[in-house]
Amino acid sequence: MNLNSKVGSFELANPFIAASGTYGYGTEYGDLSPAKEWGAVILKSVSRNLRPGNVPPRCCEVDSGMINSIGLANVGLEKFMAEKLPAFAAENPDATCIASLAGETLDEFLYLAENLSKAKAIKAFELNISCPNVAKGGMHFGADCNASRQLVSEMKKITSIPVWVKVTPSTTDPVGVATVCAEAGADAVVATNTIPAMKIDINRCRPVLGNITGGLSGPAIFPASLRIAYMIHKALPKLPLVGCGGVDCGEKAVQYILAGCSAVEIGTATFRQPDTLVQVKKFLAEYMDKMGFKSIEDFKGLAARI
Amino acid sequence: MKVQENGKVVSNTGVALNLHFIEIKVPKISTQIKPGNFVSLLPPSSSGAFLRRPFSVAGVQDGSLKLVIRDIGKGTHAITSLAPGDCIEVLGPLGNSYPDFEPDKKLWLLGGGTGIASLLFLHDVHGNPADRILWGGKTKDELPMETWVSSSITFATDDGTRGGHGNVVDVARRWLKDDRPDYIAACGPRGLLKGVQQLASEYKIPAWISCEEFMACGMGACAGCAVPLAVGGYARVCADGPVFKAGEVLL
Repeated sequence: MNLNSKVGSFELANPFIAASGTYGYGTEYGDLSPAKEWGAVILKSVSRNLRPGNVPPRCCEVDSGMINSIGLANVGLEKFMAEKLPAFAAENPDATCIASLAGETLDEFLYLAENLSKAKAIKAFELNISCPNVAKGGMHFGADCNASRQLVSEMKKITSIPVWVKVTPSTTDPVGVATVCAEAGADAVVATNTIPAMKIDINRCRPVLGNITGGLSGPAIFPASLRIAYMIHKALPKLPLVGCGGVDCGEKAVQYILAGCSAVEIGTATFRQPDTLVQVKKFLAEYMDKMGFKSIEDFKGLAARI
Repeated sequence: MKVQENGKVVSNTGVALNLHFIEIKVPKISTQIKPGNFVSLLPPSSSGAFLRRPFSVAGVQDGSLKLVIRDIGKGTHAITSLAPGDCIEVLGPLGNSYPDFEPDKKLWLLGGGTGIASLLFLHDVHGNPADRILWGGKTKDELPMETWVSSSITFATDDGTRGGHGNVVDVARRWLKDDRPDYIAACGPRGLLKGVQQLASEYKIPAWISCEEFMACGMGACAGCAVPLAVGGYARVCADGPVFKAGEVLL
């Protein structure tokens, strides 16, 4: 049984990737979910300067998931490169690491990529153009085809590291955004991110989150995100695609692969169950054995060929 | 080292209105746990609760953790409905712990509601007979009968129906008229912690408070349980806390 997968030319020992924002700086889970067991891990989004994050409360539970409004809290590029990356690399020499970039402007994205391209530990970039929780740098890129096209093409000019683009589910035309990213040279598209959402405390008669709204994640968003991944693959069958949103078991991960994804990100489920990865890998191996699939390529996108 | 362990419920006793003392056998976690640490329990999936529920530990006995849990929602309802012999998955130890207070120093332990949990543990471990421990509630129905707790605990209720009349900080203030601790440790609702911050700074008594915040991962990965710091920025209650020096956090 071969669980290897390739996202374009990017090789993964297994198709499972720890989603950005849910795996900290890669050292927090320790032995409960070791980085080297993942196909790759995506560290917390990094911005040029430190971001303290949004006013608490920053998260709450809802049916089949949670809403978060962390607000891209992160240590900033300098400390990320001087402390967080070396600490990660020292603890996880065998892990594959992807950096998630969060810029407010095109220039900030390019600045981040230029600097992080020097870091040996980073094997790919994921452009976070779909964070729903900050006023700038999130969705104003992700929902705008022209801005997305410019961002990706400028990025490809300055770095040789693969560039993945994480697209938002909150646009009427996710296929359009994926199309311009592909045309501009994106190495892969990640579909999707959290869905804007809110919760109201009926005893206090006010929104639960300090930021009023946040991003919905967890099993609640799986079917909606799966549909977008499927539509993108249908329209752009050659574009390397990564599924993201709501995977908490192997069965859901397999659905993303059948929809056309070469890899699958897992995030919120790890909060609930740190050994989700172990369960998901086990399920995948058993499923492939049962179905007679020898590799991920054997069944990737099968459901989209109908 | 943090461990994911399948725990077995040893006992579950309703001791007051919606309040349960629960003992869960988790030999690996219980040998490592210290006062102030917490564990997160995975509610049975039939409960509809999605995330784990964090609880400070109230003590350790024979490989079991003692927990004080109030039934306030679907997760805690499912957990407080468990029967002896039932299994529940436990993750821990999580978070930091109280400092190792010198044995001869006098501690005042000020707890409100289920916030008493980590203080009961600290009380056991520190063990100085001069320590005082105070457990406050809104009314007598929220507090357990004497038979369930150590006789050294003093009670207080906002409505005066049990123990000292007034909130925990009011009662501690009265104690200060003829007594004084070397250190204070406190855990409870935000109002109590703010009162303790005030009291500690007014009387110049070093104090530690254990904070509570809604948590997603409980491991320091998601930054969801942020508490503002006096120096600016935020700390993560789950990983930088839950125990902070009283003046360190802004409540």
